[in-house]
Amino acid sequence: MEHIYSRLADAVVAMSPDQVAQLARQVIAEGRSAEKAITQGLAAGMRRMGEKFAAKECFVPEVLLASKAMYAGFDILKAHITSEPQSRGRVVLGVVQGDIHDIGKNIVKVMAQAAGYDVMDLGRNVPVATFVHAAGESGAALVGVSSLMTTTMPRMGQVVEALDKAGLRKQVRVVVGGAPVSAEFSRRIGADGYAPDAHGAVLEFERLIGA
Amino acid sequence: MNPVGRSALFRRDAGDSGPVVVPMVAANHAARIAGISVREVVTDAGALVSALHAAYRRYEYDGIVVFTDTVVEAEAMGCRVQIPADDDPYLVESPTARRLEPVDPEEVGRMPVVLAAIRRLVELTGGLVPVLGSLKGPFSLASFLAGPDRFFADLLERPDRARETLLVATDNQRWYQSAIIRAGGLPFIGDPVASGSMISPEMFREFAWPYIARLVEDAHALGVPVGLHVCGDTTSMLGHMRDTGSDFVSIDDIDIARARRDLGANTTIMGNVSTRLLLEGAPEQVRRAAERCLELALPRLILSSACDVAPDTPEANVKALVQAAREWGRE
Repeated sequence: MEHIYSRLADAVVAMSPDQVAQLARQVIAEGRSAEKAITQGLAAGMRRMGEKFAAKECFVPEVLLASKAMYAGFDILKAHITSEPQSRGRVVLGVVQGDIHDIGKNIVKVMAQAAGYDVMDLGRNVPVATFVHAAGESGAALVGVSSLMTTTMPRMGQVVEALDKAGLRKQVRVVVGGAPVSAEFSRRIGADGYAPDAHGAVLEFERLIGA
Repeated sequence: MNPVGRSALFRRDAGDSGPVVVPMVAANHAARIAGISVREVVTDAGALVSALHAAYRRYEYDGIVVFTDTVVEAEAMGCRVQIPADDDPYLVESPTARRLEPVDPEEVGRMPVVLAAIRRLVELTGGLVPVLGSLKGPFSLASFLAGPDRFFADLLERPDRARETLLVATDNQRWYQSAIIRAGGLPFIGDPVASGSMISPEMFREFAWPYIARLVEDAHALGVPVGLHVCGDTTSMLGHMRDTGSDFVSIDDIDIARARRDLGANTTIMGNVSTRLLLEGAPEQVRRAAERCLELALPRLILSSACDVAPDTPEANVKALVQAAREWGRE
């Protein structure tokens, strides 16, 4: 019989909150490791969804439902975590001001959390100064900025500039993303990384802070 | 000036007086041209007319797109919307308590502003220039009404509830579309949330297509052609877009040669010079991109931008786009 952690991962990919919750309860009942259920089960499932999304085998609604399934399991398992898991680093995420398209950012958040990052979510319609303040106060290693509209894209460059002015660019790496954004655009505004989708964003985080 | 009759827009080909060019110059870029704030242009019919007419006279393209922002109908139906001083309005909160219902487009919110602008622009251009009245596709409107997160969850978990929202959105849009047509406009359906970058072709077919097709049927019953624009990567759903019955299919920044192949020779394509190139490129690059569209997609082509022309796009680039159509086939 397939191991329960793999079945958890499969249930996330099958986008079934009920099945995930049931398996998570079984993990606890059988006295297995909640940590392993999270990393080898829930997070592994989300990573597979990310790969499927990048390959256009699934789309936004499916990823959102899989996230819901992942959280259904996480809510049950988190109370049983015995050792504080080692965070891979803190990430500040937000959508630039004037832009309220935050579905993509929310998916990045789920993927990053699943991969073990400590995420500080600034939400959508975030002023430049808020990014800078949050990055400075939280001691984040990474800032992820997204914009879904051509009209709000220039604000991403302003975030990079403002972090620079605040003297934070040595400690903070900036990754940009969003439908109209390209690798070339990210280089031009002086960002450190670019990702075309949520899975790619996590890979960029890993590349930039050497996790 | 090269005015064309409104229905001629969709029949004419390169044989007579050259290709048709209708860049998607929305209220925000027009506001820059006219030196008026975006807020004024999207809330006041007089300002909207001044801006769109100024842009039309500046660029001398073949049709006027009346598009203020994506949330006009959602706002009228009860969504809370923020209108910044000089930026596009955006959705802040979807209605929660109130029961959703269609609202009178001549009375509620900013729909009357858009309708008044359409009427006035038709008058100002003597009925000779097609005036495209933008309205949201029911899928996008429904996502605003339910809230995008809930709507996407409903599509998979509670499809009946998603369909209920879609039906109310469709009823509202049928009413609004009939008012656009009465005002002298041609309906131009934009369905940005039904984007190929967001949902699968199968989901488009099930949850976007039937409701767009209903609007197209209504417009045709009133004897008027309709256009459809969907943002993002629509490569795998072009056939579904065409099968809505729309008289032209407007494509974002995708391969136009592939689009022509998939859509066949009989479908009019609108598009698709990259809005990023228009914003950041040089006029000569815009011209080459436009020529590529003309070469690959004529005769049934309305040369245009891939999506809305960004507010700060240099005028020289929009001019280069129009010029490419004017000089096509000449020495």
